[in-house]
Amino acid sequence: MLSIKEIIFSNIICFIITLIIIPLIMKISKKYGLMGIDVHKKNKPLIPKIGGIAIVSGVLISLFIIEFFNNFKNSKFLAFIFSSIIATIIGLLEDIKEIEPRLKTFLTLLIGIPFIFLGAYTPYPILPFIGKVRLTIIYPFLILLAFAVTSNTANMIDVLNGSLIISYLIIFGGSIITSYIVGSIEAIFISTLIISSMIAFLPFNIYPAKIFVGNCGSLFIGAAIASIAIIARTEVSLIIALMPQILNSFYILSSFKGLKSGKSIENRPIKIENDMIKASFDKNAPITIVRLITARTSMKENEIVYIIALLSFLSVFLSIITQIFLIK
Amino acid sequence: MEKNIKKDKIYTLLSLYALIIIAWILFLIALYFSSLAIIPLFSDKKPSLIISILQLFIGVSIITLWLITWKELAKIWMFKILPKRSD
Repeated sequence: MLSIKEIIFSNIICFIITLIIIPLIMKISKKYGLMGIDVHKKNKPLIPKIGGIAIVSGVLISLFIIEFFNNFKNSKFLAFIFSSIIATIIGLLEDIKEIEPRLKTFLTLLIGIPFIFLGAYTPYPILPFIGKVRLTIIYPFLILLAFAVTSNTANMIDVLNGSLIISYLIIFGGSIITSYIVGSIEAIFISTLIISSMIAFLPFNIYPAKIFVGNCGSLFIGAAIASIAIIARTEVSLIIALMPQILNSFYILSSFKGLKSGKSIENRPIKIENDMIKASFDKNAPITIVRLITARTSMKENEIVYIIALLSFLSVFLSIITQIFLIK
Repeated sequence: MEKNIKKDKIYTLLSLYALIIIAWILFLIALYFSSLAIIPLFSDKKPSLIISILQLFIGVSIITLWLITWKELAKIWMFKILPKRSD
């Protein structure tokens, strides 16, 4: 059982490690040409694109220290650490050399394997109205699917400066509340670590960004939210909390009619004029969350991120309502 | 002019709030009915294989129907509810 002192100590360590690593990552990115174009800016600046490594390092090093002092007894923490490493490696490969979309989706299915091998799950999810159901055979397959969906969903919302970090800060905040309701200290602890790391990272990623999260960071963050749902058994409320993000990725996938790279799409969902983003009304363009937000009026990048954050607030609120009143 | 832009942003936010709330209610309904279809699969009594496959198919179909409904709603929002009449 973790003490309050251990939780506070690891969060401080996590925050400091992330802050220390960010400048190092910026230097490494520039040295090895790991730079991404900030396409929504007039002058199209090049930005270091593997900033997510700083978040991953902060979270995993501090969790590793705690596990070291507890003799690596907690299988849930170990499963989280291994899953996070797999997600980060896949993301890093994508950052270095673009992976074919179908292969990438297949690889993201592997992120959940540590949870299955270490048996760090309870195959009795609690559903609204109905209560506990026994899914001993199907649940391991659902774990693989859940990691693929959540990691790709986080990846697809990372299109604007700060959009991923700000919306997921709210979601992880909500997961602390839902994990508290079900009494999962492990899930609360992981959520607080990720929040500490993301708070340290946010000033560098917010508009105008000095560093991108990258695929390595977005896949890690997506995988982390699935890990928390499995550990705390708050699967349904986390699906609800992720609704704007799931909505975004589902619309993109269904509009593309399959798994394709976003760069290969001819009908762009948005237009950029003088740093203002406006929705395209081309019927063949994919319906993304940014396109929906800018359908009425053109907006600046930071204004869109603000609206995405407000949408996440509502979905997190609905997830808490569901957890309190509908899940017994 | 600026007042109108502010109004548009508030309208956008509230319209998307409505879409999310509708999707949430539909999700709960879909989850309820798909659970009702699937739950007998996990009881101690062993039903026939064909019935089990049929129940699983019904459960998955309900969730798929929810996703399709959600997508169609988004299209209505994109092309009818969110744009200004002049667009």
